[in-house]
Amino acid sequence: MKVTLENLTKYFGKVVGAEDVKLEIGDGEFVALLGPSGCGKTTTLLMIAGIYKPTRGCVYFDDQLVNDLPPRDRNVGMVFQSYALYPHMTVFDNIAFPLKLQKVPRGEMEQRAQRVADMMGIGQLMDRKPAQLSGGQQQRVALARALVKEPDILLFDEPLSNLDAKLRLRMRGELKRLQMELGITSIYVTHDQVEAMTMADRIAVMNLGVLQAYGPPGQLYDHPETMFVASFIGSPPMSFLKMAFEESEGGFYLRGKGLNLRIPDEKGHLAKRNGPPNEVIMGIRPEDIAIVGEGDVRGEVYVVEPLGREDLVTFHLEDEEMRVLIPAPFEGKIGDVMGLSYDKNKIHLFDPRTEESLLKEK
Amino acid sequence: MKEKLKNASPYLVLIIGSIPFFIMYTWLIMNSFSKYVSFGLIPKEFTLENWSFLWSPIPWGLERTSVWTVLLNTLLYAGGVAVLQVLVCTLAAYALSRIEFRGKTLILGLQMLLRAFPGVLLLIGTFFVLLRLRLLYTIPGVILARMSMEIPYGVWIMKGFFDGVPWDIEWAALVDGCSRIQAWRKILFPLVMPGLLAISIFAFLAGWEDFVFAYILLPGETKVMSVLLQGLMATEVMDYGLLAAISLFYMLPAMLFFLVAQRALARVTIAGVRA
Repeated sequence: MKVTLENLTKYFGKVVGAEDVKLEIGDGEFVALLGPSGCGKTTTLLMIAGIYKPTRGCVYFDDQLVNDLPPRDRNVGMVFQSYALYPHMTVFDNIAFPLKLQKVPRGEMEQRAQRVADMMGIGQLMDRKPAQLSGGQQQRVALARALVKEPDILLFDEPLSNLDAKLRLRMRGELKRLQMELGITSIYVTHDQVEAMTMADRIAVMNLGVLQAYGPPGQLYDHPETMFVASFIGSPPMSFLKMAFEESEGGFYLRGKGLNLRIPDEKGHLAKRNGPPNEVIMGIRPEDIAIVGEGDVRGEVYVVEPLGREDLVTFHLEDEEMRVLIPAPFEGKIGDVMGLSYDKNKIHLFDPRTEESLLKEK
Repeated sequence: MKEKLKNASPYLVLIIGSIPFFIMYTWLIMNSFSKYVSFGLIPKEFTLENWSFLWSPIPWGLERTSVWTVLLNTLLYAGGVAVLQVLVCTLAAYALSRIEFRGKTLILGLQMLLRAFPGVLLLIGTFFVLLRLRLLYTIPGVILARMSMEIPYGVWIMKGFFDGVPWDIEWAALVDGCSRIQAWRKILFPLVMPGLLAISIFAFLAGWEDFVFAYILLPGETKVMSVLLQGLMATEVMDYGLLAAISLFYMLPAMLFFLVAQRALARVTIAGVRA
C-alpha cells in the first residue's frame, strides 16, 4: 500500500501542527518521521491514521483519497507510545478486539490471536491483564493487537521510548526484522535519530511543523540539506564555525578563528554558484577531524568524555567549540593546545541567513 | 510496658471516641424492642409492639399512614436523584473533560464555588423557580431540586475519571475498528464505571437522608421517611419506642445499599488499573 501526502496541513486554532507536508511512501517501505518534540511528526501520523482531520491537503492510500474515511475503515494498525492497552480486558481480549469488532467467528478469532501472540513471544500470557505485564511485554501486546487484523499500513508513535536502553536496542532489531519479513508499509515517528537511522529505508526530518528533508539515512548524513538536518542527524553532532568565504589565487578559502583553510575546488564552485556568499557556516563532523602536529588550526582542550571505544574531546577555538572523536585513549588533558586537521572532502557549507546547504547540486 | 501502651494508645483513643456512638445505637435498638427502658439502656421487656407499623398503619391524629407507602416514596425520591445525577453529571463531565469551548474555565471555577455553597441557603430561590416551572409540590420537582445541589460534586468526580482515561486509549479503539459510540460503550464506559457507581451512591444517600427539601417542597399527603419521623416527633406524647423502631427501619435499606454498592465498587476499582 503506497501512502502519498499532499500539502498536508493541520492547524489547532492559531497553532501550526503541520504545514504543507509533502511525502511519498512506497509499498512495503519503512519510513521514519524524525524530529524534536512539537515538530509535527505525531500530528502527521494521526492524520494518516484518520484521527485528526486535515485542515488542508490530502492523504492518499494507493490512489484513493482517504481524507474523509474514518479510522476504522482505513485498515491501519497503530502502536502508541504508551501502548494504549485496554486495562479492563485480558491480553487475549486486547489482541482479539479488532477481530471482534469485525465480527470474525470465534474459532478463527482465537486462532489468529494466538498465532500473532506466539509470533510476538507472548502466547502464554493470554489470560493476564495489562497491569500484570512488564513494559516489554505490554509493548508486544500492543504490537500484536496492531498486527492481528493484517493491516495495509503500520503506524508507530515512538513505541520504544518507554523501554529501558537494553530492551530498546533489542526491540529495534526485532521490529526492523519483523517489518522486512511482513513487508507491510510502516511509518515510524521518533525523536531519536539513532532509531531512525538504523531502522528506516528513508527518513523524513521535520521541524516546527515543516518537512526539512526526505531521503535515505546515508544521504541525509553525508549531504544534509539544511543546518537543522545536519545538526540533528549524527551523534555526536556536527560542529559549526562561522567563517569568511574568499576566492583568491585560483582557489577558495575559508578564513577565521585562526584558520586559513583551502577547500576543494568543486565545493568552492558549488558554493559560489549557490551564493555567492561572503560568510559561510562551516560544518564538520567529529569523526572527520584528526589531531595532527600543526594541522589546520590549533585548539585548546576543554573537556574530555570517554566513550569506551573512542574519546569525545571538545576543543575551544577562540570562543567557538569543536567536537572531535579520537580513538581511545586520548593522551592529552584539559588545557593542552593541539593541532586539528580537517578532512577537506567532508566539509559542509551553509548559508548563514537561510541555513541551507551551499553544496546542493541542483 | 511503655511500648505496649504506645501500641495500644491509638486503639484506646478510638474506643473512647466510639463509646458515645455505641451508647446511642444501643439505645436505639433497645428502645425499639421494648416499651419501657430504664436508665435508657436496660429494657424492661422484649416486645414487638413498636414494630407493629410493619403490618398495620400508624395511628396518629386523624390520619392512618402506611409505612410501606412512605418507604416507596423515599425509594423513588432517592432513586430519582441518583439516576438523574448520573445522567447529568456524566454528560457534563465528558464535555468538560474532552471538549474545548469558550467559558469552560468559568464553568469549572463555578463548580468549585458551588461545592462550598450550602444548598439550604438556596431554598427560597428554589421554591420560586419550581413555582414558575409548575413543579412545586410535585415529586419530580423535589427530585430536580435536590439533585441539582449535588451536581457540582458529581461533575467534579466524573471529570476526574474521564481525565484519567488517556486520549490514546480512545484513539486505539477508533483505529481498532470502533465507531465513536462503540468506543464510548466498550472502552470508556467500563473505565469510568467506578466513578458512576460512586456518584450514584452519594446521590442516592443524599436523597435518602434529605429532610429540608422534602419537607419544604413537598408538604401534604406524600411523605418520605424523614418527614414521617419529624411528624411523629411533633406530637405531645413522644412514643420513643415507635420512634426508635421506625428510625432503625429507616436506616436499614441505606446500610444495605451501601454495603452492596461498596463491594461492587471495590471490585471495579481493582480491575480499572491503568496499563
